[in-house]
Amino acid sequence: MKKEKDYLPGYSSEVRKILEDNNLAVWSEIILTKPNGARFHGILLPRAAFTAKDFITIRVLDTGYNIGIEITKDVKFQKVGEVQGNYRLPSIKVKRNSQIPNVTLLGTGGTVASRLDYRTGAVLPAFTPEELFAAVPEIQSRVNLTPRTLFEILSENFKPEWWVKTAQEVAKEIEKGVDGVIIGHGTDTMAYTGSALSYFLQNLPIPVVILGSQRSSDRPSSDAAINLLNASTVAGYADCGEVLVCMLGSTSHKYDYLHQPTRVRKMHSSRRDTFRSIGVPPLGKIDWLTQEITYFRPIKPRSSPEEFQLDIKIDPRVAMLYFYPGMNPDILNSVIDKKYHGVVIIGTGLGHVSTELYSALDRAKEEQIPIVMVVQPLWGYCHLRVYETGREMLARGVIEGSNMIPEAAYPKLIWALGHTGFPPNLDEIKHLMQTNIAGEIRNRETRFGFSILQGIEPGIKSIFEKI
Amino acid sequence: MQRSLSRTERVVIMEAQELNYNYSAIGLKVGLEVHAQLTSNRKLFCHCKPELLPPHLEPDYLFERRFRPVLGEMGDFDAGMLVEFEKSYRVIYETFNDYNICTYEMDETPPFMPCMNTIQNGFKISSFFNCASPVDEIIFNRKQYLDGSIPTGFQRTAIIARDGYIQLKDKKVRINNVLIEEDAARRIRFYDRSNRTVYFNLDRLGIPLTEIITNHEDCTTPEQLLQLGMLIGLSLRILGVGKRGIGSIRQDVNISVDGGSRVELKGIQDFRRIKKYVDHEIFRQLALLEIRNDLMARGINRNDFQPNFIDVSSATKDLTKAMVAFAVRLPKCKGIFLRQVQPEKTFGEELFDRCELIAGISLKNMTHSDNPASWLDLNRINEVLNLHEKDTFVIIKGDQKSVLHALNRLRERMIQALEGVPRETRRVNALTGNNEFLRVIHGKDRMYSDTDTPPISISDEMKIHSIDLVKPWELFANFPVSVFDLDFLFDNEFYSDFATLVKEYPENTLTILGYFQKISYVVHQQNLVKQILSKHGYIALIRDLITNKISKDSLKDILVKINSGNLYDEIKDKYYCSIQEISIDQYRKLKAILDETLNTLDHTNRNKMFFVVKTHFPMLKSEQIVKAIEKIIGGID
Repeated sequence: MKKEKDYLPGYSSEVRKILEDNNLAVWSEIILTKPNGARFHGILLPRAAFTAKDFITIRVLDTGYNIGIEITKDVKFQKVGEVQGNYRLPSIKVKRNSQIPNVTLLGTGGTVASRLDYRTGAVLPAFTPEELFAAVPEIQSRVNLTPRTLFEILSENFKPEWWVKTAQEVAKEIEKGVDGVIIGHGTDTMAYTGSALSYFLQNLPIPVVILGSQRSSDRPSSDAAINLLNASTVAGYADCGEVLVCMLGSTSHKYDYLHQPTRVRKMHSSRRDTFRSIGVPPLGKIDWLTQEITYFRPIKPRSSPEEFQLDIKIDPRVAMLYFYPGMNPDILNSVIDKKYHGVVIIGTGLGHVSTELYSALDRAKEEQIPIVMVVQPLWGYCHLRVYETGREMLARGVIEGSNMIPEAAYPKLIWALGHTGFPPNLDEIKHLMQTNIAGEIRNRETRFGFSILQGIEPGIKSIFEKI
Repeated sequence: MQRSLSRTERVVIMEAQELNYNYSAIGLKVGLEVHAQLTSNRKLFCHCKPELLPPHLEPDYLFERRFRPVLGEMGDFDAGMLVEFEKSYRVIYETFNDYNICTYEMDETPPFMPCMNTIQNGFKISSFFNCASPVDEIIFNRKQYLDGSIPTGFQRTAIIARDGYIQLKDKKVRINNVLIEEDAARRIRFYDRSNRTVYFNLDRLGIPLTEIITNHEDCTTPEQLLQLGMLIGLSLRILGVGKRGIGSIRQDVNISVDGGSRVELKGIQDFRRIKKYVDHEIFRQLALLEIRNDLMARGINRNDFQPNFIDVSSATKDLTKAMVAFAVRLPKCKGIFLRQVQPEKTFGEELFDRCELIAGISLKNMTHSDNPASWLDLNRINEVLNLHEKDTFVIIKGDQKSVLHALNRLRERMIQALEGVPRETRRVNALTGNNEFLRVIHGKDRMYSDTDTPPISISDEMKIHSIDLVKPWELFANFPVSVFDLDFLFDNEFYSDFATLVKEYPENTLTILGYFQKISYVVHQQNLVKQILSKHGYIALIRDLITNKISKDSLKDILVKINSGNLYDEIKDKYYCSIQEISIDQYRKLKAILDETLNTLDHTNRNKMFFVVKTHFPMLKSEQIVKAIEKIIGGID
């Protein structure tokens, strides 16, 4: 069934009727006069969703400002003409250069290249190569970039199945022989996707670089162009066979940090330098002006294509619970009742839950549902042998999640259960969960691990300033 | 009665002597964009204090950003924005501990809900300026700025109302828009253009601002413009919403002459010198129009300016390794670059200014054949370029990318010269009165809606303000007072009492003004407290002065008494006296003494006469003496 075009997007009820009666559609140029004599000349614009119903939005003609006008039956309209906005970046011819690396950009949604949707006020991806290059022209001289759209979803709507799909698409690109893959991803769940891909894509022959932006590209101060350019360079040129997250390292538009996805976390709801490596310094850094890459830790070089393995067996029936004082055992019991196959619990301090939960833990053990414990402080290890509480929990089969961060532990349990099947052999799942696959577990933490203000804190500063 | 000019008025008049135009003959049109900071207890979009930092504070943290243009709402890049992007500045922001800069100013946190008190003040201002069309819903817009003055790359700004006016004597000056917006950051260090780095202090960013835009067609002389600007500033203070202090109000001027274009002048520090700035821009627009006519007369058209840039590195001395020199030939243009476009400024300098700003090549690396630099090997150049006698050339040296960029911009500017005056935003130079290119004028394509702040519905109570304040332009139109007098009256807290009194005694306006000037003198001389006196009020006192119930001579005593807590009503009886005309006898004596002491010429000097009489007849009241002197002078006349 063909959907009829909406000529008054965002308008409803009485106002919509008045506009229809006056034969008006969005992009009409109108002059309206209110009973009190107020008079406005402008273009009727689509109205953002979830805003007051009795108003229209017009773009005032002489200044270009938007204003809102209350509409009643006695408002008089005069239609002057019709304008159409065509929101497109100017397209430019894209030439391929055989001298520079080929990189594929897999788009999943997010704000890397985007435009405004006036109906919802949301940001929509703009994703043709022309649009992309028009927005970031420098990229052409760095790599031959081929954009492909996988999904157009906000990252909070991701599901484990889409991690799999993304990994499969990366594998296809590897098969095609590209020099690198970059993935545009919303920043909210970037660490989860990155961790999952780190488990799925083993012995990578190319870098797989995930990037996003904290200021959408409809803003002049956007970090999208910088992250895109830096990620492209890393993907095209770096001798690195790992999944990486490439995001601004400081509030300045100067350099990006390269993080290991299993160790990275979004630590601020809005800052550009929100991504911080937990427990370790970042893997490296790329300077925006010089495009020079520096590593702070050893990285895995590119593997040969034959060694590459796509390991995408998953069991997504996993829950993650955040323990809080007074948590009722009902919560865990209902997860067991609902036949979940595994639970990650984020416990207090060294990884504790209250004694009230012991009975539920006993039940989980009986039903062979693995419980993996990680810690709320984010930094440091889960240690269940220090206090009595911990020992009680260990006795109930709780698996210590070492120093995995929640974003790494959750996809790992999904991946591990995919390999063991359900019900799993608890020893086998414990072994898998406590074995380092992709940097999510580190058997030692140096003092450099706990650097919250990476790059700013005196003393820590020097190690980030090697460029 | 002739009134002597105040000091500021004299300064204004003295400075304006250089250039003089018949403004109506050249079709001058000027308008204002007044930006005024508003009083509030927070910034517009965050909860930082709306205050500037104390001077000489050292920043403790710097961060750096770069900006890119984004599409306007209708799907176009704004031409002005693309030029800004070409300048590709590195912008460095200074922050100072945690005084009044938070992550909002740093563009690291979305805006908080706007300060509603400020929005309410916006509607107050709109009512005061008679705005017929207030909006029903505030929608914040993003106005792109890529010069770094705002870390988001756009200013959040909203229209509050439209279609207002000020009655400037017999002229109605329309006010197109009243806006509320956030102030921009302060550029603190003058940047080295070839270094492409700008420094900003973030303290001013986000202070609530109103922008009042007058219709650019409505003023036709600099004098009207000055009056308009003063009246708008005064109105904001009368309303009690305008912030005071240096930099709290900034006026940009839109200006054009017949055949020219609208040019926006920014950076005007001393608005009272506005005539000079306007005159220098008139000079420039007229000169550019003459140049256009000259170019046309020489038969030049846009095809004469081709983007053929010739490598003349081999004919240039002192080139470093990374440098090249390129020339562009400008056929039939000989002499044009030496034409004056502003006092002490040639067309060539104007062009090079612009190239320097956009492409970042320093002025000393640009030269033209009308005034060739010493680093050229002229013989070689003439060989390579094969110039005809009436041709001219421009040569620019530097790194190749910047050189070609500059030459392209130069060529573009020459094509614009065929049209006359390009639409530009220009910055005035306070020293010379001249102005220089700042950017291509910003269009409406740089506007788009801000999705971070939801539209705010405005209730009628918020919109409608019945304001019981006298509008300064009404006093200005109906009584013989200047805008400077009104400023004086308001600053000394006399304004509303003055307004009441002149309505009561319109024929005594200048006398009333004189009383207030005297009061102000006494207040300063006796160190009295303005607030105590104004709270008490001057109306009864001045009424009694006008009706001769008390003498001006008692003013000092009365004011001192009021200052120390007495009420005028309770003490006035003591000062009441009947001021009668002096007797014929006294008058004759008085006249005789004047004739004795003064020569005939001095008989027209009221001050001198007053002084003589006062010395000889200390028992007479000032009013009596003044009256007698008037009579004498009248007799002589």
